[in-house]
Amino acid sequence: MWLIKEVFYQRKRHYLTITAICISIILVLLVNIISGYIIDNVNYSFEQLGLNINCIQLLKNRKDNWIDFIIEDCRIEKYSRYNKKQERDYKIIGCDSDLSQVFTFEFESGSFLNKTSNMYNDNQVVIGNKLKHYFNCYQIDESININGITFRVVGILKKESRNLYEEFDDCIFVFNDYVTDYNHCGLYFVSESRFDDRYLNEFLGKDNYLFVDQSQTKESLNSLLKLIRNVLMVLSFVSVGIAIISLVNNTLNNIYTRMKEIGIKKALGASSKDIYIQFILENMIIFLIGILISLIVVFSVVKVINISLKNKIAIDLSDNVKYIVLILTAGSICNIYPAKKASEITIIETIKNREFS
Amino acid sequence: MIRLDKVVKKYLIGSKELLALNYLDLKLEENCFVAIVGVSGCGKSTLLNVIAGYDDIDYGSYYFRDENVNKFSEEKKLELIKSIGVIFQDFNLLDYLTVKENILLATRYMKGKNDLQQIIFKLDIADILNKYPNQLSGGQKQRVAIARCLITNKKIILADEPTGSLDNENALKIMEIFEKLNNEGISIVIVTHDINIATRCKKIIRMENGRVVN
Repeated sequence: MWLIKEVFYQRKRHYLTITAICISIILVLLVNIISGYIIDNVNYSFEQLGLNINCIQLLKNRKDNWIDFIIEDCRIEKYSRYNKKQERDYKIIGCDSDLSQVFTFEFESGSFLNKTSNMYNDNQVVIGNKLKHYFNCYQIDESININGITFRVVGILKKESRNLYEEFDDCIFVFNDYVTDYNHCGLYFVSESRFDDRYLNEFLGKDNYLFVDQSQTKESLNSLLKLIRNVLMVLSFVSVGIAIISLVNNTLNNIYTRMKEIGIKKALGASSKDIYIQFILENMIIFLIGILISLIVVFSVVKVINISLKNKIAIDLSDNVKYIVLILTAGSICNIYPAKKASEITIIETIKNREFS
Repeated sequence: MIRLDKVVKKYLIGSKELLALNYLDLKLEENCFVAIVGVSGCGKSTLLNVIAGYDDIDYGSYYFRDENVNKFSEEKKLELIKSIGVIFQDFNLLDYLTVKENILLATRYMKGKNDLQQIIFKLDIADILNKYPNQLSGGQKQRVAIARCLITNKKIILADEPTGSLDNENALKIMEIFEKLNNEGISIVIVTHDINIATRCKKIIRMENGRVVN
C-alpha cells in the first residue's frame, strides 16, 4: 500500500510514462492480434477455396487443342475447360459440367447438371445471385434471353459465391460453345503435387499464357503479410524501447528530486538493498499498471472491431503473454541502473545537497 | 558509551581543505543529557553526523559501546545507524505519508517495535495521527519526529537544532519531552546555539574550530 502511495504521490511524470507504456503495449498487442487474424483468415480462405486448384489461361489465340495436349502430357485427371467473355452487365463463362468437380459451388436453388443427366442439354445456364434480379428470374426452370438466344436456368448460385479467381455474382455459366472469345480460354485443374510450369514455357511460349498456382500464391501472400507484420512489430517494439527510455529517464530524474526521501529512509535504517528493491518494485508497478490498462484497451478495441466482422477476432492469451513478459523483463532490466544509482546515494550526500537537512 | 579519540574530519571546498573536526576528543556516558554548543561552522553538525554513523572520519578513532566503528562492515554500520535516532531542525517527515505512517516508517527497516499507543499518549499526538505533515504546526511535527525515534526503541537520540524552527512555547515543550525521555534512560545529545535550551541539559559541551574547548 505504501509503495503504491509512493508511486503516485506528486509524480505526475509517472502518468506520462504510463501513457507511453500503454501506447507501446497496445501497439504491440494490436499488431500481433490483428496481423495474426489477417494471416489466419487468408490461409483459411485459401483452404476453403481449394489449395490444389491451378489455372492456366491463354493470353494469345491458338487454333490447336492445346488443352488436350496438356492434359495428356501432364496426366491431369481432374480438370475443366473454361472460356470467358465480358459483356456490358455480366460475364459469360463457357464451361462443361466438370467445373463442378473442380470447384465446390453453393446453390441457392438448382445445381449443375451432369452430362449423364437426362435433362442435360446445351441450352442450360447457371446464373450468379445478382443476375436473378437483372433477368427477373427468381427460380430454376425459368427461361432467360441472352443476346437473342433463350436459355433455361438450372441453378442460381448463393449470394457472394466465388472461387479464387473471380466472384460469381455477375457470372453466367453456359454449357456449350457459345463463348467464342478464345483469348480468354483456359483450364482449371487439380494437381496434388506442385505443377512444373517449365513444360508450359516450352509448349505455349513464355509470354503466351498465365499460370496461377494456388499454394504458390498463398505462400507469396503469406510471406508478404508476415513481412508487413514483422515490420510493424519492430516499429511497435521501437515504441516500447522509447517508453522504457522515458521510464529510465524519469527514474533518474526522480532520484535527485527524491533525495530527501532516500536520505530519511536510510537514516531510519533502510539499507541500499531496500532502496534498490523499492525503485525496482515501483517501476514494475508502473509497468503492471500500464499492462493492465493496455489489456483493457486491447480487449475493448477487439470487441468493437468484432461487431462489424463475420469471422470474429479471437485473442490468444498465451501468444500475447510472451510479449507482455518480454516487455516487463526489458523494462525491469533497464531500470536496474537507475535503481542502483538511487541505492548508492548516502545519507551524507543528501545532507550536503541540503535536501535532507 | 561513545568515545572519540583525536578525530579528524576534512572537507574539500574547491581546492581548499576545511578541517571540520580537528583532533577532537569526546566521551559520552550512558543516559547522558548533553548539549553541544558553539558558533556556526564550529563542527557541531559534522560531529553529530559522525556519531550517527552517517559520515566517516579521516583520522582518529570512534568507539561505540567499546567497539571501533572505523572497523565496522557495511552491515555493522547499518546496525549503528539503526540504533541511534536522529532529529533534525526541519523535522524530515515524508509529506505523502500520514503522521501514523511516518511514525511506523522506521519499523519497515527494523525489527522490534514499541507500543504505538503508549508513545502517542506520551507525546500527545493522538488527535493528529491521520493528518499529513503539511497540516501540522512545527511543534507537532517535531513531536512526530521524536515518536518516529521512539517506535524502534532507540536508546540514543541525537537532535540537530531540534528547537531551531519552533517558537519559545513549543521549544520548551520539546525540551520537557527530552527531559522525560532522559529520565526513562534514553541518552540525549542536542546540538544547539541557543544557550537557554543548552542550560536545560545536564551537561554542556562547547566547541570551537572543530575541537571541544569546555
